[in-house]
Amino acid sequence: MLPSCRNMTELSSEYLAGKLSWSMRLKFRLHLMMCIHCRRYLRQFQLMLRLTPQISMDEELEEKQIDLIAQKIKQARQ
Amino acid sequence: MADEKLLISRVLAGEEEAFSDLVKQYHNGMLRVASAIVGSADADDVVQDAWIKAIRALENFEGRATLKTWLTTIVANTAKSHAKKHSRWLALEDLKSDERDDLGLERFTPNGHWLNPLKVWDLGSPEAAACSEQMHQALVETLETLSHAQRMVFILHELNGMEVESICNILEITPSNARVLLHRARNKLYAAIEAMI
Repeated sequence: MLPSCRNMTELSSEYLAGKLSWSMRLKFRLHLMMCIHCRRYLRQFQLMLRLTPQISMDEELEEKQIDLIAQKIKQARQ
Repeated sequence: MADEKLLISRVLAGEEEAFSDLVKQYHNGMLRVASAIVGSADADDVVQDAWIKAIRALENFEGRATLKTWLTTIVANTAKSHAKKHSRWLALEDLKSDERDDLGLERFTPNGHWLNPLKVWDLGSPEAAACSEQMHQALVETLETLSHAQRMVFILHELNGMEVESICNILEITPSNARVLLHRARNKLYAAIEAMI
């Protein structure tokens, strides 16, 4: 039996990481061939994976902070 | 890699500017990992300890991993030790409290088909999309809503480039649990992007 669309969304990371068994991979691909919605989901899921590494949660360090931290680690080395 | 080697040799030679370059390049990433594991209040101390350990071990850096991965491993292990020492290390094996449905049950019919067609994303390039302030803010806020376990795995893997196997060693979870946590985090981010389209 082929996976449902919901199962497809649960298996997409495993599929992209090459972690599915060969039989499940085959079923996954068969479903993709038949389902435009899951093809769209997977394409957009991959786009999201390319986008997220660019999230920066941090503010730029100020020159002063950099020097302070650098000084501390330099002292630790001595 | 050549740049990394050069930077390391400059640091080992005690070149003043090299320390600043090293901090500039890697400090924020290390802080992100420490915050995800021990919380932002203790993150600065953890990163400072990690830097000291890293600098002392730098001579032995063999370049089998990138410098970023090596530093991430050091800071993650330092954060874990810190959390354990202060009895704040949470066992992550128990995922029962981590909700199962990733994209939301309401999107599917009872037999698991899409209820409505998915929206088409027209984001341009991922680079351009990430630069949109609104999108960036939405993603950062979504990261904050992830469970502690999901956030740790996501940050280590997606933002700091650590392999799932290494994450398992640090967080003491199985590869399948790590992948489940990662996937749930990804689907929440997917839903967040979709909500903005």
